[in-house]
Amino acid sequence: MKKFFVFLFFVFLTISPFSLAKEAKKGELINVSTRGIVCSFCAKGVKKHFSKVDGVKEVKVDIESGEVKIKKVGGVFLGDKEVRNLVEKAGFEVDKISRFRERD
Amino acid sequence: MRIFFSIFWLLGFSFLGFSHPVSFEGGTQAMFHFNENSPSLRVFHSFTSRDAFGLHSIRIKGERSDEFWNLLQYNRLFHRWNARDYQANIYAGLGIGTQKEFGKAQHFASLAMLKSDYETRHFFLGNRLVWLESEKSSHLLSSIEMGWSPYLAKENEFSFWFMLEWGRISRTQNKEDIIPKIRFFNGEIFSEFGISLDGKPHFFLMKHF
Repeated sequence: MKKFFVFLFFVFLTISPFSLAKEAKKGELINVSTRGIVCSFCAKGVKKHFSKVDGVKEVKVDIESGEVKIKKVGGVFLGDKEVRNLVEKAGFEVDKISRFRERD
Repeated sequence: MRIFFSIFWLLGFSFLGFSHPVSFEGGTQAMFHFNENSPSLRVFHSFTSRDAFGLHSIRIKGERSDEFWNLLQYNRLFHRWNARDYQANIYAGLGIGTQKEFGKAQHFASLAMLKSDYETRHFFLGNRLVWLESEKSSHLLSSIEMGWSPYLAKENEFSFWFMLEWGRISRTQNKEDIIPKIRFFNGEIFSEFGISLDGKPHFFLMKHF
């Protein structure tokens, strides 16, 4: 029995770093609902600002809905205040910010 | 006709296309405008999302004159209305520099600009007023533009617009043009092609950096 628990313990030690690393790579999805984005030129400004942030892997702008979707893995903390600031630097305004953990 | 345009102006709907004189913070835009009467080159760098500074060179060709204006220009976004389905802007600009007529002395020159626009994803309305003043010459360039896009292009797709522009150069000379044109933009390149009703070509190219 003792052998079995020692075995389980080592299995756990072996697997856990991999699962933690996988979890870390999943990252965060930030959906920003904006006002003022009406064309692809507007979208470029928003993309440029978010793409410079450390850890941002992907930025998509839906021009029809005005929604900016940011995928972030690690890097610096990107809080609501920073998100608003970046959208405003591009010349637009934020309505709502939603955050999700990425799923498998 | 004059009353119609005055009312149009007073309503605050003004200007020349998506060539916004102020871009996003850190953005630079280079604009080349080719036409017979007033070809121009403008380069503006936006150091905030409301302020831009740059160079404006314009050539004003008249029947008896050919002038070159080179100015340093500051542009300010006075107000932007950001809504879910539209954007509207009022801009102003001031410039100082030189005016030189071909073969003659150079003079101190100044520029004042006022521009406004209203745009949705399918409709555009704008106007622009540029006043150039020097000791020897004075011009007022005004334009009104409207446009319609038959489809909404996604982020990386090709945008296409049908445009109609009315433009006028007044004071020292009086010239008026009506220019049907088409507008394309994709990525960081924006262009317009048109021919005025009296057959003069029009070409506009803008690149964002």
